[in-house]
Amino acid sequence: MRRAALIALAIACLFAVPAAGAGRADTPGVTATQILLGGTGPLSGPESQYEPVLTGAQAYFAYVNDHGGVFGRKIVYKVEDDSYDPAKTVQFTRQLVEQDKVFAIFNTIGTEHSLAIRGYLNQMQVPELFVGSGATSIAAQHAQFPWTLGLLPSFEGEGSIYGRLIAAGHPTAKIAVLYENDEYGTDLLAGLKRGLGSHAGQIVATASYEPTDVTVDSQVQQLKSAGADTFVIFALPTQAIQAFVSAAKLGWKPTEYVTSISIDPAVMQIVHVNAGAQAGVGATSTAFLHDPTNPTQLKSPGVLLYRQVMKKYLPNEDWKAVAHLYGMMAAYAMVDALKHAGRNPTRQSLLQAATHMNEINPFLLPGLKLTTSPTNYYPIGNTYLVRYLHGFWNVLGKPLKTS
Amino acid sequence: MRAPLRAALVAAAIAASLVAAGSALAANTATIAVSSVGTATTIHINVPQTTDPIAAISIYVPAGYTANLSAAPNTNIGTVDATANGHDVGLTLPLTGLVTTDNPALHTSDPCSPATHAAVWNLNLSVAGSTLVLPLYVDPTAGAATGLGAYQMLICLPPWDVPAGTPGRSFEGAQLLDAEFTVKGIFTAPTGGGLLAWHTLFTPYTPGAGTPNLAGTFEARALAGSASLSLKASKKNGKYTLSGTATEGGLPVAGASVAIQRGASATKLAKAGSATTSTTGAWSASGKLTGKKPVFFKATATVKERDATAQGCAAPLPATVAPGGCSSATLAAWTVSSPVAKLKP
Repeated sequence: MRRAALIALAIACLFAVPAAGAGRADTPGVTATQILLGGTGPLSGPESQYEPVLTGAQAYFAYVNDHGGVFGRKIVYKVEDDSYDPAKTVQFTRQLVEQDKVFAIFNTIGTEHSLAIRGYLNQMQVPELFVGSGATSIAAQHAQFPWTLGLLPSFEGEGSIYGRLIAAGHPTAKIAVLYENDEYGTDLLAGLKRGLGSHAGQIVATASYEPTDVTVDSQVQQLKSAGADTFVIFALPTQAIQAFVSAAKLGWKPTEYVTSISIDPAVMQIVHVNAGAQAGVGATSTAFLHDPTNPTQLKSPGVLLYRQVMKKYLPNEDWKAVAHLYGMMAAYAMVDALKHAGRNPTRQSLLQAATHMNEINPFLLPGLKLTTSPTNYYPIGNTYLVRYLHGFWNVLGKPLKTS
Repeated sequence: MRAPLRAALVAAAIAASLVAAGSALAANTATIAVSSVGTATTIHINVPQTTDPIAAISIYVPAGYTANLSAAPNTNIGTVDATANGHDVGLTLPLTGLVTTDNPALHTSDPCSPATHAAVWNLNLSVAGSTLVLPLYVDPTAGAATGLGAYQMLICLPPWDVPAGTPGRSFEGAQLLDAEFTVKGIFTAPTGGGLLAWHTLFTPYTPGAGTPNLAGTFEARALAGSASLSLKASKKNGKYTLSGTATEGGLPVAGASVAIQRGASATKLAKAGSATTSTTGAWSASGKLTGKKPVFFKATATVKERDATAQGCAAPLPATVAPGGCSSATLAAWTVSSPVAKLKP
C-alpha cells in the first residue's frame, strides 16, 4: 500500500503545478484549462468486450484530473462508438478531428480500424497514439506514417516467442494452428514460423476463422484430425474460449499455446464452466500487464493503484477484467507523453514526446518499460512467458524480446 | 419488451385463464429459493434451458416482511451471480457483479414497467469486462396484488430466440439459466414461526416471436423461514453427548448435515465429527472427554435446496393469476450454526 501511495503522491506532485497558459492559437484541442483527446471503439455490439479499454483509460484520466491534470489542464477523452466497424471508425474519427477539433486520437481499438484512419490522420498530421495493435504494418511503416504509433507488443514477435519455445522444448512437436484470418492472425502465424526456424515444417495443419464466424468447432476438429500434439491458438477471446472448449470436448489433449490477447481471467473461467476444470490447464502464453486477480500480484503498486482507480471511478464495473487495466496503462503512457510535450504542447511536440519515451509504467509487469524512438514504434518490446496453473497465469522467467 | 409489461400483466392475467395456453406451456418450469441469514436475503432463481424464453419475473415478498427502500442511488446493496447460455457463441457464460441502487426517476419510462417505482436496483452482470445491467423494480403491492405479498420485485428479460439483429434481442443471444442475488439490510422477516411463501410469476415469451405470452404465466414459489440449530451438551462417565434439533420456520428439518467442532476455547475449534438430522430434525453425537480443562462445542447444519412441490403447490394460485399453474415449490439451501456449548470436566 505504501508504494502505491508513493506512486499516487508522485503523480499528484507531477501534475499539481500552476496552470499553463493557453496553448498555441493554432493547436486544436488545447486550451488553458483542457486537452481534448478523441477515440473510437466498440461501446456496443458483439465486440463490446473491449469497452473497458476505453472506460479504463477514461477512469485513469479522471484520476489524473483530480490530481491536478497535466500542467493544470484537465484531460477530456471523447470516445465515439464505432461498433467495431472500420467504416464507422473513419466517420467518427473525421468528426472528432474536423468538428470536435481534438488534439490527438488516442487508444483506437482494432488493427483494421486503425489502418482505416491512418492515412487520413497522417495527412492531417494528427497524432494517432497508442493504437491497440501490435501489427507489423502499423509499427514497421513508421517512415511512411510517422503520426501513427501502436502500443501492443509485436504480434509477429509474440508468435516468434512461441516458435522458439516449441523448437527448443518440444522439437518433435506436431503443431496445429488456429488463427484469425486478418493481419492480427497472420502476423502471429508468420512469427511462429520464424521462431520455429528449421522446425517450421512441423506445422501439420493450420485453420483460419473469420471474426464473424459463430463457432470454430469445425476448424478444431480439422486440426485434431491432422494428428497434432501441439495446439497454437491465435484467436481473440471468444474464439479462444471456443477453441479450448472444443478441443476438450473432442477429447483432444495437446500442449496448448494461446495468444496474450486472450488471457483475461474470464477466459479460463468460461472454459472451465463449459469444459471442466482441467481444460486449458498448463497452457502457455505471454503477458506484459499485471493481472489484478493473480494472488502473487495483489500487492504490486500497479495493481493497488488500479484497484484504487476502479473503486473510485468505475465502482460498478468488473475490476477483474484486464482490459480495464490495459486502458489505464495506455492512459498512463498518454499522460506521460502529454507531460513531455511541454507546457504549451503542439501536435508536433506530442509526437516528438511519444517517439522518445523511456517510461516505467506501473501497470506493466516488473522489468518491462515503454520505450520508443523515431525508428522504434513498438513501445512494449519485451514480455513474459506465462503458464496457466493453479487457477491463474503464472509469470515465468525473465522478459523476452518481442521486437 | 414491446409493451408496458407490468400493466399488461395485471390486466391480461385476468383474461388469460380464458385463453388456451401455448403448446409449449406444459414444459415450462422454474424454481425460486429464498434464504435469510442475518440481514442478508438471498434469492436464487433457476430456469431450465428447455423452458420458453422468459419475459418477466415478478417476485412477491410475503406479507409481514418489511423492506428498507431508502438507500441513496448508486449504493452497493449486494452481489449477484448468474449463468447464461450464450446462444450466439455456443458457450455457457458465468456472470457476476454488484447489486446497486439506481435513481427511480431515471426509470419512469422504462418499457418494462413505466412508472415511478419505490426503488430500482441494478443487477450488474459482468463477464470479461462486458457488463449487462438488469434493472429490478421494487414496489409495495396494491389492490389485488396484496394477496400475493407485501412487495413486488419485477425483472424483465429480453428474448434470446428471435433472429440476430432484431431490436431488443438479448446480448449474444444470452438465455438466463440461473441467477442468485443477495441483498443486505433490505428485508426484515416477520417474527414468528411457519414457512412463508414467496409467490413468483414467470411470464414466458411466445417462442421465436419475442412477444410475452401472458396466458403462459406460471408460478414457482419459495418457502422460507428462519433456520436455527440447537445444541445441548452433557457428560457422563468420561463421555460427552451432544444433541439438538434443526428447524426452519419452526418446522423440523430432516436430512441436514451437522458438522461438529470442539476445542479448548470458544474461538479455537476444530472438526470433531458429524451427524445427520432425523425426520424430527433431531441429531446427536457422542465421544470421549479427556483432560481436565473445559471443552467447547459448536455445531453447524447445512442443507441443500429441497423440492417441496408436492406440499408447497398443493394450493396453487387462481388461474386468473397463474394460468400455467404452480410448477415448483422449493426450500432454500442454508447453513446455520448453533451457539457454543461448554462442558466442564
